[in-house]
Amino acid sequence: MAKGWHWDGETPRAESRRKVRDMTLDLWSWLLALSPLALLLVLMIVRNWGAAEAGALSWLATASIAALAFGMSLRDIGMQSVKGAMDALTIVYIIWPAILIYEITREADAFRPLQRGITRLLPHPLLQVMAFGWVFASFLQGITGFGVPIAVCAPLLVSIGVRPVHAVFIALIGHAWNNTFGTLAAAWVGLKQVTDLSPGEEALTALQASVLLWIVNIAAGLVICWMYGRARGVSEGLTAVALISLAHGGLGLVLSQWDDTLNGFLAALAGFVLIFGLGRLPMYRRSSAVRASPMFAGSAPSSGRAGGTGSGEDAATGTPSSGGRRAAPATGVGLTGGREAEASTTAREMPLGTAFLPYTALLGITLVILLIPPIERTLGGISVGLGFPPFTTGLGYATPAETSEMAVFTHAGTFLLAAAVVTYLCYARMRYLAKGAWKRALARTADKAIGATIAVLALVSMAAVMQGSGQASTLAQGVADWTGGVYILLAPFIGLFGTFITGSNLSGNLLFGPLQQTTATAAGLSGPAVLSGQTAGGALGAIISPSKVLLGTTTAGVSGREGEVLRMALPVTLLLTAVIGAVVFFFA
Amino acid sequence: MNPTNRIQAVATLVTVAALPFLYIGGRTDTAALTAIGMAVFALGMLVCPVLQHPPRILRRRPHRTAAAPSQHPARNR
Repeated sequence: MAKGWHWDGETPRAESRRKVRDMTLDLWSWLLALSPLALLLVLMIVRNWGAAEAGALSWLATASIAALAFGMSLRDIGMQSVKGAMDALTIVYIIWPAILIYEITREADAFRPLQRGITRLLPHPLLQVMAFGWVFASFLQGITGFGVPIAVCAPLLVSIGVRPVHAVFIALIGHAWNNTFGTLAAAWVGLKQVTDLSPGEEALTALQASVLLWIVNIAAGLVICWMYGRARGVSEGLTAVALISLAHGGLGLVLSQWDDTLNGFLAALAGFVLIFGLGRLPMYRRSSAVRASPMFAGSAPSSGRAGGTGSGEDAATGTPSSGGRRAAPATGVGLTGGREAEASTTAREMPLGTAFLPYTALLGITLVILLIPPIERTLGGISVGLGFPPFTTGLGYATPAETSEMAVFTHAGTFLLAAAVVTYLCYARMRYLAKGAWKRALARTADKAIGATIAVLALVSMAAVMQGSGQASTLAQGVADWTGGVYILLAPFIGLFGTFITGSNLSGNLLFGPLQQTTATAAGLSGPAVLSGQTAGGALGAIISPSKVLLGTTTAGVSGREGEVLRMALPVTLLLTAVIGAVVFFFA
Repeated sequence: MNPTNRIQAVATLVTVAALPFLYIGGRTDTAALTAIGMAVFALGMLVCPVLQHPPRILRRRPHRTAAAPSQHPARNR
């Protein structure tokens, strides 16, 4: 910040004093820039505040520091906050329809047949969790992204009996690897746009990023197994993890050299097909050796014809079940009150395909719109947005003119909303919905989504002010300047930080991609290695990004418990980022 | 809608109401509009933390009435 004031004829002693002063000022600026994030984490993790409350106070801290220490005018803070609100709209527009889908599904009591059907196809409880939390989440990330996998898969996991906080974490870690090449490689394309790479360097970066993301993918599978049953869980799930990660990571790696926009989608699709094949293997049709998985509510995960876990407890009620035979899992945030009895009658009649209708509709709508170019071009051309003028802070940090746009008809929220409408109409026509279902579904959606709305508004506005004031760059630049030779080890942490504050691997790459490349060139490091570390770290940042955590806690019915999810996610994410850093060091 | 959600709904509405002031104030360089927008935005942001986790100074003391004796043992003698 105070760097660069230097005059000719400076004595060595004065130069030495200036260096110390500059360093002190830089350190001071760096600590100030860090303080809103530290406040956010302390309030959420240590004080157990919800994101709505912690985010709001952190926005205030960020705005105050931007004005007082970074020379940002009130006008620019206001404009950046509006820009943040516009960006928040793109997230909120996913949250509301995602919850609406969940509520309509719940009104039709489709979670019970869904759980029964999946139990029949995948009798092993661990495979069920992998199917929803890893494979299906990755598949959705391959197409839609923008938090949809978390919003959809967390409640699905809860519906098969997984504890809500665990469900959110599993969906977060399960989809993370596909953040770079998923969503038709939006984050990867963004990274290429803002950096200056030759075709050969692009291919090498894609290859190295694919290797790093494969590691993230394997780690996700192993973490799910560990959560399911510690060492015994890992032992049971090892074959599935090896094969699924081969489809996800291995195929992704090969395809990255062929088509770097479709590889995430195709690899995730391969994994999705594969898991149903795995369900036919004798080892996954036998009863699980894990007796009381800490992952499941109650203690008994469902186990179809394999005959339960033998824990002797019904996960839904905590009461003993019949002799270790098939134990019905909890429906998590499922049905309540008098509707339950009525719904359970209809549930028996609903086939699996019908129960899966919301997700089939979502996939169908998304694929038709995004993969047919004329439709995509026509609908993608319609957008709403606001323009923001350029500005420079008192300390000289310049932000160019920007337009915050949302392509309404190709936005993931529209796909979800359309899927919700289709689902409602189909279920109503099939008579799975009772009278007044839409009113109840809408009321409960508003109840669940309102907290997330203010929280996202606060967090994204805070991130926008951090970016506009130069606080985000100060943090990243400080790390780059002070780490010297070990910078390459920390490159993924900058990627992680970018996604953490923006909530998107794409935005993180746009924000820090050029900085990473410049630093790599200045330090004589391999550009592809550093950039692959940036985007892999960014993918990992999606696990702890507060806006994504919020999506999960809201749809899983545990709003306000974001701190618990972060406590679970943070150590794993930081450890994985360090591992990625070590591999990047090896690449360089 | 439970009380927490009601508070959050009000906070959201107040915050959103500030956005036109901030945007128009920023585009037209009108300091008064920006100042109003910032004040309303900050108010909206602070509603949730202040009402959910009120500072000690704002916390209400337990209300004592004649019918409800004090919890303090010395005062009930």
